[in-house]
Amino acid sequence: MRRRSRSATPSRAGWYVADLVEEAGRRLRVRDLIVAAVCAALAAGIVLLNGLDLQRAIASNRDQLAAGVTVFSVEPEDPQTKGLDPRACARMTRSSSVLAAGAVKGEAVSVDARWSPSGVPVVVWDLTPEALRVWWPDMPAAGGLFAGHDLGQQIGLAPGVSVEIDGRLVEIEAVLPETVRPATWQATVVRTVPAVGRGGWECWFRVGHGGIASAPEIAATAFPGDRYTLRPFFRTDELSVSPMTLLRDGPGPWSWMAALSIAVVLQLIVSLTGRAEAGVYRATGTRLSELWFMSLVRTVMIGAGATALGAMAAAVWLALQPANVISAAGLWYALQPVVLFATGLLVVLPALDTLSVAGSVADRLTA
Amino acid sequence: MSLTATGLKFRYPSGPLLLDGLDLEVASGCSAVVMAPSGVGKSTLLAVLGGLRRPESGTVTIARDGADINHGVEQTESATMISWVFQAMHLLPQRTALENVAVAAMPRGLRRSQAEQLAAIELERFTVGELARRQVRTLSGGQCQRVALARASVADPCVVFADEPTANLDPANAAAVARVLVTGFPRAAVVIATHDPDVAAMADVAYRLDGGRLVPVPR
Repeated sequence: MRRRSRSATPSRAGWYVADLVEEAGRRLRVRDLIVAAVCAALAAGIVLLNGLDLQRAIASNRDQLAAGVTVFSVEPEDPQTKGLDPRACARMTRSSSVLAAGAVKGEAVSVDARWSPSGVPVVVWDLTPEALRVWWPDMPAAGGLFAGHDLGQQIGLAPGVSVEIDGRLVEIEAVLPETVRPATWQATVVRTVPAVGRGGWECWFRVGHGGIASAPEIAATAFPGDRYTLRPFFRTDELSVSPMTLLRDGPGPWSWMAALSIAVVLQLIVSLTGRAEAGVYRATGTRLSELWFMSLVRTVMIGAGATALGAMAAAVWLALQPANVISAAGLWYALQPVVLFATGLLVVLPALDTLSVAGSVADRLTA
Repeated sequence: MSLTATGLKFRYPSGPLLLDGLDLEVASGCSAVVMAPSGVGKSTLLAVLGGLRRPESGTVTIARDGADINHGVEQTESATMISWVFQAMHLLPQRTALENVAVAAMPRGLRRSQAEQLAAIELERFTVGELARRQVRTLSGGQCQRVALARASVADPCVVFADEPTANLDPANAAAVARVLVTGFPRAAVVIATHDPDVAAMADVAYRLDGGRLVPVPR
């Protein structure tokens, strides 16, 4: 037999990194593809769970905003004798928390108003254009006379129809959209008027979502010397769930941990069934750190790759749904738990795989 | 180069003393056979000699650099001086014979191409060169054991431990493998655990494991 010299084989030096990467690829088996498929399914599940939860939260938020959860009214304690300064009300928008603010008369106006020519009497409500913008940001800039939606439905008031107010004909500019929530306005004719005097005025304002808690301070700043009552237009009760609560109690915080637990159990089974093979590497001089690196490469190739594909597929599916209300930023929110899941895979699976062959090689090979 | 074991004692937790002050010395280029019935501790002795299990007391020294493989040397460091041939062969079934052998060379700092060149030489040396590109799951037991011997050889070890290397082979293959084993490692000390007297007859020296010590078998 030919025999090479002993010097042909270098002493202990370890694997080349490129060869370890290639070896990791050559070690892939059907069981790894099963792990990959499960990781992809788990990632897709995480995105779908969180995406659907986010959709519910967005819908809840949209409903609450439409219902007026961010709208407040400031009512003088004696509106007959004293009102609020409508200009001070309009100045509320100087606060970065206030999106719109305007004054509204506390009661319907005592005028003789009738639909011409039918003569049907109608109630007129005066408010400043700024007050109408609290509910209707896109209202006609010039203001004018507007028919409440309910009134329009009941008696047929429509744009272009005239209403006779104290003997003067005024054309209806538009019908209030249904998004204007005060029921009294929808059952009357609304007239925008200049902010003059202070008798009978109360003040309505809409804040951004983060400004709800600061509403009392905003009102106090606007009306420092007045006695008033601040009321939210729509008060959530104990049974109503806020969008934030929906998100906090939703699957986001735990879905990735549950998915990671499933992946860990699966990897544990795969690792234990492959201990003899790993033991061969150990018995032939491969270090634990090199086995860990091979596991890391395999996890990147299989676990992380499949996770990314599964998550992307689920995100695309969500985005293509006709009823989708999730923006690109929202999709990123839904993907965040998957990032945690993938990070967990990269940390836990190689460590688990390596630990399964740590300790005595004899137990795996001499049986 | 040689393998020297002195005063080895070993027992499994709450078990009887399997090795009781055992001594052994095998020079490089020599082969020693340890015989005993199943369950007496042949495999355990090899595991202790090879550093896979830690003895209660005693030392094992490989004379290449005087390293005491059971005290203070990392297990995988000793793995670069030691090669194993197992009864179950422990080849990677879905890999080719060439890959199986090369896997043992790459931890020594060889590029894959270099390792495969050496692996091809070793497979030729153990008369299975023509099988280099075949997956080992398609090979016979005798062929697989020759691939395992080539894998043991490619690392150019100081010591080769073979645990029942012929137990799963038919008599003809067993004899051929045993012959290759005792002659194929001229620069290494070879220790074989077996209950096959034919293998013992080919080795330079044979012992019987009895009462935790090695007793020479008359030739």
